[in-house]
Amino acid sequence: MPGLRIELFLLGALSLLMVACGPDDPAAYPKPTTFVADLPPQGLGFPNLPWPQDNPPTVEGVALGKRLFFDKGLSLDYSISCASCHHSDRAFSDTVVYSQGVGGALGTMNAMPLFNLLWANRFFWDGRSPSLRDQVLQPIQDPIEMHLPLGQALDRLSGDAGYRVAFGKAFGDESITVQRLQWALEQYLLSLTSHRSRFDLSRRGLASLTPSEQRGLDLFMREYSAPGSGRPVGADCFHCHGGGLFTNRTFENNGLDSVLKTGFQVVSGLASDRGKFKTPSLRNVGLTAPYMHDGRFATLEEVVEHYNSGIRSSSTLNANLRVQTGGLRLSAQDKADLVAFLHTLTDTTLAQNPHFVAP
Amino acid sequence: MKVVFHYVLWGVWALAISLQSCDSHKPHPPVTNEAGLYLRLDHRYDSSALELNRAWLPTLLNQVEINHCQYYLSGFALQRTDSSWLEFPNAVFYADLERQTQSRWRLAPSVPAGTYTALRFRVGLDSLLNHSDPASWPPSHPLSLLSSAHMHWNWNSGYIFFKMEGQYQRPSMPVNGGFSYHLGGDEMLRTVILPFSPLALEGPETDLSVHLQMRGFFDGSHTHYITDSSSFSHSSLGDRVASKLAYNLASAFVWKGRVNPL
Repeated sequence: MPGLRIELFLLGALSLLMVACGPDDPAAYPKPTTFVADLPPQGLGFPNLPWPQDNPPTVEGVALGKRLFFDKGLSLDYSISCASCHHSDRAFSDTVVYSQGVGGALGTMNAMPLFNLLWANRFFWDGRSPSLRDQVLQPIQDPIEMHLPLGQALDRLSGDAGYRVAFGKAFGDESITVQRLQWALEQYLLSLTSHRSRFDLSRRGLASLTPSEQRGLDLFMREYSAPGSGRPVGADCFHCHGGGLFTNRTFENNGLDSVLKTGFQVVSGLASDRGKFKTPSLRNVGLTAPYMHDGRFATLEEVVEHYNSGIRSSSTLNANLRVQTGGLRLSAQDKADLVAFLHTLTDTTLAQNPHFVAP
Repeated sequence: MKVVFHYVLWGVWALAISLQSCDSHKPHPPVTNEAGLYLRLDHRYDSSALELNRAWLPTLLNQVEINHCQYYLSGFALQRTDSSWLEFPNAVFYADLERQTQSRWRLAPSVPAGTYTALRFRVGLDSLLNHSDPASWPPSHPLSLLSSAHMHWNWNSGYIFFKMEGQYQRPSMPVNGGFSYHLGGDEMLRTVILPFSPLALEGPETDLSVHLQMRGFFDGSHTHYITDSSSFSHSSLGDRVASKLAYNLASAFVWKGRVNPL
């Protein structure tokens, strides 16, 4: 029965080939090394959140994401990278009101800082992107940003032997796909954690705040007091910027305008969300000027003065701002102390971590 | 015979390969209603379903528009006919009316067959839960900061038990005023007991219906007149507005009975 033996051998070989076609293929490259994210210690108020299970971080994946982030080859004319508008020494934000894209095109909103994105739930000032992996593709393709069609991006990357190896090391083989591009950028961006500000160190008993900073913290955490209530004034910041993340992770109308821009309404379709923009974290706020979705305020002093005396009423104004009839009534010293406290939220290690900064 | 054997051999091979899972998109099992005791909470304004953002709701003294409302209930228990309580100690219910104004929530995976005479719960969280570290809860738990992002005050100060924010108006006012009521702190914890006629509970799925009558929050036993100085409260120690509203709130839950499962 030699014929049958040959036939059985062929069947076995074919079966092995078929079984090997699945997603759990043995990799052509060695298994990547698990990346240990720099997560905050307990007690700082960060929510307990696991890394996305379908994209576990690896040393190779994070390194690839960083390389992509800093690569000007992902813009149409090779002139800009993601890092061109997200500077690591500015908590990955931009220093100008509107960032400049390919061909000098100007953006329409201020570039947001990038850190602690593991705890973010929607992306962009108006929240139009539901996930980080969705978000990372948009600036690459946007005509006023990097303006590179995805197909072209993949062609460029696939034509680079170094990238083919880097994708192989990160994902097991050298194929370069949109999904792997998303995963690599997501891994890098999620690795950008920030929890070592002087304020954090003071919470852990490793540093102390000055009397002015401590007074600023007290003002930050104290609610508004109505005139004649007999209670000390409060800056009432904590309602939207409380907790370990220093953001309520939602969208608010903070009284910038009476005539409202679309804001989060673009996502929800609800008139009640008009004029609402993402509440940014105040961590590293001393590094991220200019401020607000349109970069209208150049300094923290201007921001504080807005909340003190500049709130404009409209139909969707945040309720806690609406009750502050007549403003916060902060003194010059109050405002200075508040700004002093805000500077304690700066994490200088963010710009020094070798995993984060420019290769 | 040999040809038939070969056909059978190849057929078995093809079948084995087709059963081998090269496709990761396996169909999920069909979704079925899980057995258990369910709480159905409807938010009403008089006889109407509550609507956020657009409905001007006439209270006794103001017209109000509710923009946000979120709250916690905990400490659930059913009273047996011998007056003892069947407790559901780990159950925490979180309502966010921006997500849904009608909630169906599984209070417990099962309830012993028997006759019960009252439902008890707390508006808010007991001291242990209130002072737990919100970072310690898994993301899907209602006490995680990720599930209820705006319901925790700050380090060491606990959760907001009940939050209502919106706008109010009176004929004399040129523009709408705002209101913001955040009830919390251990002293604001209120217990609600809703007695009912003896009710035999059995079977795999049981739905109990409760209404929260929002008019009662403003026009309860302590009528609340919103002015500039009483338009907000964050439950500072000795805050009379918060105390009054917490009392009203506890009286605003109405037992509606057992209803057919959805």
